[in-house]
Order: sequence, then C-alpha cells, then structure tokens
Amino acid sequence: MAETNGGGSASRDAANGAGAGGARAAPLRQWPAAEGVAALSPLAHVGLEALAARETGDATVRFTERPVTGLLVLRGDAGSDGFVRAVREATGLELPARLRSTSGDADGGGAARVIRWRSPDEWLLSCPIEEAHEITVALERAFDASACVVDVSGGYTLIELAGKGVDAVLARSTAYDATGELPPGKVVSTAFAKSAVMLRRIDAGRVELVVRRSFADYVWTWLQRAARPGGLAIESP
Amino acid sequence: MCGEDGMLMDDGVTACLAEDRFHMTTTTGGAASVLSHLELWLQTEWPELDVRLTSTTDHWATLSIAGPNSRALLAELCDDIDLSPEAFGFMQHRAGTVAGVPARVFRISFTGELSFEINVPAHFAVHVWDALFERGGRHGLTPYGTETMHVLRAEKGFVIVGQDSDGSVTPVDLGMEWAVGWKKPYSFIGRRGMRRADAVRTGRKRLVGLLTEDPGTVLPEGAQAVRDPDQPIPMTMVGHVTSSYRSEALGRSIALAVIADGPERIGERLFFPLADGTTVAARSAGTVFLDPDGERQRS
Repeated sequence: MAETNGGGSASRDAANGAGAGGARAAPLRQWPAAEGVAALSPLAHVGLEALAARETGDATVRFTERPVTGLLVLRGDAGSDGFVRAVREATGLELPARLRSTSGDADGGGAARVIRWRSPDEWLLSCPIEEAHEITVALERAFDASACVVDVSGGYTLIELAGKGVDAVLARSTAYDATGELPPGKVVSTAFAKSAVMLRRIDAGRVELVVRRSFADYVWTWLQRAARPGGLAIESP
Repeated sequence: MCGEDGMLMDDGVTACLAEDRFHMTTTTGGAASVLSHLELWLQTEWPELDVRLTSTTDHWATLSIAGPNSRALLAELCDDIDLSPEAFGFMQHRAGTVAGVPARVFRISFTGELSFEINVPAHFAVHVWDALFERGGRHGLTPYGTETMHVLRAEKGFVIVGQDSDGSVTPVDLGMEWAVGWKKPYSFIGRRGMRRADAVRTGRKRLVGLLTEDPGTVLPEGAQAVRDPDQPIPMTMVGHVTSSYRSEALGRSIALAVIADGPERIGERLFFPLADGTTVAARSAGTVFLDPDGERQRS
C-alpha cells in the first residue's frame, strides 16, 4: 500500500518498490540520502575523531561510539513459531530469550547484527544502517498482523566501553550490579546516571550502552567524569 | 486523548500511514505517559486487538516551516511531492525527498499559517535545517521559538494541554466537541466520563477568548474572573485566564480563559481583580482571534 493520504499522487514509495501489494504497511525507505548528505550521530559535536588522536597514557576505560547504526524495534509474540521463524529467516539470528542477546559474529561487537531482548514482546535489532531497510522489508513480508518492525535508527547511538576500569564506571553509574549480574550476552534496560539505557555485556572486558539520542551528550559528559581517576581513552569507531 | 473521567489528558496529530499503521504525535512532555496509557489498555483490557506500539520520539526530527511562503521554499528542496493545494491538502501527508533526505511531510499547523512539518530521521536533521536556511533568505525565513509559537497558536485559539486545560476540562469544555466521535461504532475511553451529570451540567468553566478593554493591558495568566467587581470579598470567582499575550498581528492583547458558562455569554463584561489592588476589565469573545475561517492554513 503506497504511503499517500487522500488519494494524491503516489510519491517516493512507488519508487521504493513498496507498492507491491498486500494489506501491510509499505516501509518508508529511510536510507540512503543523496550523495554528500551527512548523517550525524548525536555526538557529532564532540569531535571524537580528534579526541581519539590524543595521547591518553594508561587510561583504564576505552570509549568507542558506533555512530549511525541501523536499529529496528521488533514486536511480536515470542511463543509464535511464525514470528520466531520470520526473525530467523530475515536476520539470520535466533530471537534471544529473556534478558539475553544474540549476535551474528563471534566478536559480538562492532557492526555485527545483534538482537537484544527488551521486554516480553519487544526486541532491538542493530545492523549496519545500509541493511536496515532490506531487513525491515523482509520482516514485514514474513510477519503476520500481530507483529511489527519499526525503524528507529535515528533514535539512539551505541557506545562501547572496554578496559579494566569498566566495572568501576558502571558501579558508579547504575544501581544495577553490572559486575555480578551482567555476564556476556546479557542485556538489561536500566537507569544509568538518571537516564535510561540498554546495557549489554559483549564479553568480559567490553560493555555496550544503547543511549537515546536526546541523552547522548549527557551520558558522554557523565562518562568522562565517571571514568576519573583511571581516565577515558577515545577510540575511533 | 481523554482519560476514563472524560477529561483531556493530551493532544496531538495521528496520521494513517496505511490500513494497519498509524503515526501518533503527542505533546512533548506527554509522550511517555501517553505510551504507558496505551500499553496499559492494550495489555490489560484489549490484548486481542494485537496492536503493537513503538516509540519513535528520538528517531524522527520534525522541522516545521510556517507562513505564506513555506510552499515556495519547500518546492525548492523537494521535487517528488506535488505540493499544490489541490494535490496535497491540509491535514494530509506525503512521503518524499526533502533536500536529498527521505522524509515524510505533514500538512498540519499549530500556527494557523500555511505550514509543512518535515519529518526526517534525526541524523539527517542538521542537513535539512542547513538546506532550508541556505534557500530561505529570499523567502524571508526566520527561526521562531516556543514563545512565538505560543502567541501564534493563541491567536488561533489552539489550546495547549496543561496550560489551557488542567485535568478538569473535557473536550466539550474546550469547544472541541467536533473532535469527539460520538457516532463511531465502538465506545472509547472517556465517553462515559464525558456524559456524567457533572460533566454536562451548566456552570462548568469553558474556554472563551478575552479582549481587555484597554488593548495595551496584558492580563496575567492565572488571574481570577468575577462578574461583579464591587462584590465584597470573598468574591464569586467564575473562572481564570489560561493564556495571555500581546499579539503583534492584532496590535493588541489577547487572552484565553475558562469561564463558567462562558460560551453562552460571549460579549459579557468580566473583571479581573489583581493582587496589586487594580482591576482589569475585559469582554469575552470567541476563541479564534485571527483568520476565523482558517483560510491561511488551508491555502
């Protein structure tokens, strides 16, 4: 169904190939923009590249942003075979169980596809942003009317923290026991320095924060303070 | 959107994107509570509806261009949407490309002017903003803030939830019964509340416009209204000012107020005894001060 209202001319959606029919919504293609259009992370103003070039000595926490990542919210019934199969076939990943994540590569970080459990009927998939539309279309085709996928790529940024000082930073920042209760692969949505983040342990030394766009500068500022006195080293994505 | 008590709890624009897909906006501060409200009803009362909600608050950036030249400006940056009023009417939306960025454009207006709200993924917002201002000079483009927006919407009698309403106000009290779907085949949250004896009695405070007798006087928001300025204290208070501004377009002050039976008494003289001992006199009026037929926003 082309996304027009009131019977006007079919616009971009026709060119999207989205008018293929069926009762489901035709996902709006949201990537790419025209050549030369900058896609800005909510930390674009910080100048992380320049900070990454600084000499930081023996900082105990390393900070890496994964800017402009594809992010899709999946909502459906975890007990439905059709939903689980649709996710597997469209993403190559199993739907994770409660408080868990599944990842497309052994590394588990970076640009891999990751699905994070968020609530009993809600998951957050990250992927390279170039893949977000294709995955959305594939999921929409496979889902029945009780499931949906929504592109929220602009709504968050991903921050990775690594190093021996990570647990100390987390201990200062959240009431959740991220040392004792967050083994690799586990995901929790929790309060973090009075903001709300998704927290995932990638492996023993690395933790990922999914931060809302409007809170990204706040969390960045917080992390710089929380990483004292061990120090924060910025790494290029 | 109303609570079970029939009182206004939030407002926004909901667009039908496809038969099974809707895009809902709320007041800025109300987004989280509206989402919780909807989730609560879906999970506890209507799970069989199979409706799924996803917050897109941080995902979409919205750039609103308002004013008589907004179509001409948008046309410079968008060649895949027919922007003519015949093809793209008021209260419609289109998908397209603005300044090279995939966008959804809504023809909605909180200013009462011809207006386009350009929605783009937030990571492209700075690019679109810069493109608008690169081309905007010849169209007289200027940024406007919330204070300006408040004045522009008050000239049109558009309410702000939480300012012109306070949790004790029904859509009928606000003169918005046109928006209540009494005839739809399903019941809805607030229907019964709006029909309670107390919600339909006479004497309820309802929205009116106010024009001070001295056009230079701007009433303080919150000022209490009385009908008899000579009554000894305690005076009978019949309502209060909810919004009050100087309107540049009208060359005078304007205000909105909730006044007991106000809509039935348009043109009555009201008095506002202030804390400094002075009393301001005003006449009640309709709530729309400018462009009452809405010709601008539909142009």
